[in-house]
Amino acid sequence: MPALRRSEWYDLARDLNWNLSYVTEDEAFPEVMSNNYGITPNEKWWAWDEPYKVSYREYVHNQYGKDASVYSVNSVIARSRMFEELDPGWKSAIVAHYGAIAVPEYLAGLGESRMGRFGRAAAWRNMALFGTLDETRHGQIQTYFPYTLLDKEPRMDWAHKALHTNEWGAIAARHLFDDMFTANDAVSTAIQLTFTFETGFTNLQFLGMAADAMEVGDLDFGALISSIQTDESRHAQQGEPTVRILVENGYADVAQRLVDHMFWRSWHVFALLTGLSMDYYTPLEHRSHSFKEFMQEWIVKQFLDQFRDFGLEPSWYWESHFLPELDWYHHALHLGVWFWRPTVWWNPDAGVSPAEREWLEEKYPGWNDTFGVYWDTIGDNIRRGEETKTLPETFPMVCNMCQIPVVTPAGFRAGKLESPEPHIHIHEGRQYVFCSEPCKWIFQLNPSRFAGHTSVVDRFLGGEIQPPTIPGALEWMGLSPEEMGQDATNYAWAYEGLEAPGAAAS
Amino acid sequence: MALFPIQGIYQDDFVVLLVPIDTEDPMTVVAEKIAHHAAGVRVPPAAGELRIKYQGELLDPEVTVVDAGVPPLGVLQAVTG
Amino acid sequence: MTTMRRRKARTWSLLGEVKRKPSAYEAVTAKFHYHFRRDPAPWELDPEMAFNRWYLEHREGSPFNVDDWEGYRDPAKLTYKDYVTLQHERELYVDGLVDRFEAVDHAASYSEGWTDTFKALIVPLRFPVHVLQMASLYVGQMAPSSFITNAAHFQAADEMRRLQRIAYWTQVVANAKDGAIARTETARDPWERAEAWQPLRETLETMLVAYDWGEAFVALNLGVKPAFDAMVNVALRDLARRNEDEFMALLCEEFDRDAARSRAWTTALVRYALERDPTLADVVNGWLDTWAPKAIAAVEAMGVLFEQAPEPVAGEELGEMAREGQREIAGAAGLA
Repeated sequence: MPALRRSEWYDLARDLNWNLSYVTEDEAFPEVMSNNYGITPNEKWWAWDEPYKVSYREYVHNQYGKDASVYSVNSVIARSRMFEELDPGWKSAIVAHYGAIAVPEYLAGLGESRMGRFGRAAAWRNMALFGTLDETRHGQIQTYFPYTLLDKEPRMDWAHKALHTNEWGAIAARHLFDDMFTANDAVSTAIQLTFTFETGFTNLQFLGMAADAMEVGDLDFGALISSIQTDESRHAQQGEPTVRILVENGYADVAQRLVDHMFWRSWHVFALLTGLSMDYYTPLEHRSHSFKEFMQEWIVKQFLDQFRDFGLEPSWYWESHFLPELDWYHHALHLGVWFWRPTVWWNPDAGVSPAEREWLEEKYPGWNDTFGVYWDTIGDNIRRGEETKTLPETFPMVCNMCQIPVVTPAGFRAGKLESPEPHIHIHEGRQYVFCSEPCKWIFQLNPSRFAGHTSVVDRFLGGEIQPPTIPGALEWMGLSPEEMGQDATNYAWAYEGLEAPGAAAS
Repeated sequence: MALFPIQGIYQDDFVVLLVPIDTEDPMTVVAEKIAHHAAGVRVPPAAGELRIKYQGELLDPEVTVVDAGVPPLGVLQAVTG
Repeated sequence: MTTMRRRKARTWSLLGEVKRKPSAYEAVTAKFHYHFRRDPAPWELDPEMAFNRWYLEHREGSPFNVDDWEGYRDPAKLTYKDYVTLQHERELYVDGLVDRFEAVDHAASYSEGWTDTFKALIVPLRFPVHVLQMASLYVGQMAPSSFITNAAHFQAADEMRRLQRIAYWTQVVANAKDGAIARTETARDPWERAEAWQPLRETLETMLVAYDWGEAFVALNLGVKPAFDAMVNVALRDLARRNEDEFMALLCEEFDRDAARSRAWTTALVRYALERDPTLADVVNGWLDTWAPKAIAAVEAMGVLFEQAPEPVAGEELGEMAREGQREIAGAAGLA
């Protein structure tokens, strides 16, 4: 072991800030790649200080150990029947996770590389280099694991191809992650990827999912996720010093706006992915908390601490729009994903057997009076053998920001919104549809960043999807008949608690 | 006779739908086309006569989208009176 | 669970009907850049927004392009797991090297003359190496295939590796000889103002703003690095050995193992491109006409520091090593 401790020489590896003279600061750090928001010259960024320090040699020694152990868990499990015996709902949760998260994590490596080149302090660029390596790891490990399961579940193919397709969830993932880091300047990325999304959501989600996975007996996924989580806290830290510099230079309003923009966007995709898996896909006996409880105990608490610690305010929509959505938004998305199940690459688990509905009613009082009614109607059609009535014949409207179906009517039905109608906005003669005030606000903040984009519905109406039918759209989305989502338990939930199938035809 | 897209919301449904109608459909037919995707599908069929509400006003059952000045992707709610 | 039983899916469907089963390297590297040449634009935002324009101009719009980059392979076939395993083992070796020379208090044995050369030539090196780290990341984030991106990102990490070993030993020498050696100014002032360093800084700063991805790659890996690595990994190795600094000599030899990997994937990429479009040789050589001479001039300007050492390396010798470095890789790449 080298004699000097890291702290004795570490500053020599990061005091690498210098005054450019052969090219200008704006040429070497152009605004498109590194928006300084008026904080110039670069010297003002040199005070950037990472709380969590690591050297190159420590990094490769630690990461070697992590990969060696987690890959060995995978190789042992690959030979077992563990995957086959997993609960169908849980299997759907990880098939959805791999498709929506694996390649995007690799993409985050491009966002980190962006900060590694265009970050305005050497210490920041160094941390971003480790972040680039971390995200390359996360992308590769979360494609290798599903790759080893292809023979057992062909839908694992989506871990690799999802972002190549125009499946509506893949479009929503691309739109979110390009806005957050792949097509975002270095300064905004530090605040929106690391400070908002990673520190605020995924760092905690990975903790929650690792615990759930162990509960469910999915040692493979549990080892994977907990190993990934240990990297997250390191590179997620880049946001703190960046926010500090903005606030100290009198730009707290810029930091606030960047956080408010990305918190809302992260919340909607998080509700779609994690809300469904926690409240509907995870087996009832293994649910340690409801999605709302997880959000309140972890995400809400974490963010309120962060807002306070950094001199920021809770987002303007916090009380009026965000907290109320905890009660209904993901329930509506679950209904939408299940009813439009052929448009997703996993098998949605309805999660509404009598026992599960009891749990939902306990965790969300009034659930049966609102969402329960939809499931009763659908269950009746299943029991009458009218499966076609439980499958879509048209499209939902899709939000021109988050690209997720517009479920404002569910919010109105649950007594949380004044109107069932979406939010319409005309910009340069074109009509845009938004699912919420905050999504519309994000668009209005920076229209030129989003205006020319077309949602699935825009493309359908624009004639891009031919033939303009549901089957035509399914093919356009890249789903083969075998991959189109089906009810995870073959409608077993519709018969549970009844003497014999069809006995209780109303 | 021309295809015309509207945003349809059936009373008590949970989602806003893209519903293709025809420029010559009276509102009674528009209501049926919206109901087709929700009544008895996700929501028990509503009791009573279905009307179309546009920008807070109940439209005359016989008018068309053209008569009522509803633009493409106008938001129409199918509600019981 | 209605799992569809179709013929055993041996690999990702995007890799098509492959005879042999793809390697783990290909399974976690192939076709991750779905955004390259994506219609209407790489990123799922307004097709005209600034970032989409940047990539369409500097990547899709680069003259250094072929019909399909996905056939390229890094000869070392490094996945992340392979990279950290490889460098874990190499860093254990260098840890042992440090232990061995710290045990004999090697730094204290530095002569006054060699300490001056260490201070003037080796201490400021961490600045240009940091620029190479930044430049490698730019090539990585702009490359049209994940096979190239990953190689460039690992190269950036290799530059940090080299830099941190120089930084560590700088502190050891400062503790043994003169505390001022470890002050930031001791490295930054020469880098910003000393005559010998200005051609190198000028070359590296202007290279940082060569934003076309092909030019960024060629300037860095075919122009600057071959000359710079010849100076640090070869000439400095010889200089150290001549002045009985076996530790620095062994360290420079270790750095060259990483540089050799860079030369290998660079050569393979240029050969791959020329096989698919021989006219690209003119494009690459066009850029080299700009960057190769600048890199040579930058290294030659450093000659005075090599000549001031108690046992010098002559400026001509240094210049020749740098030119040889460039000739070698150009030849291996099929450009000569």
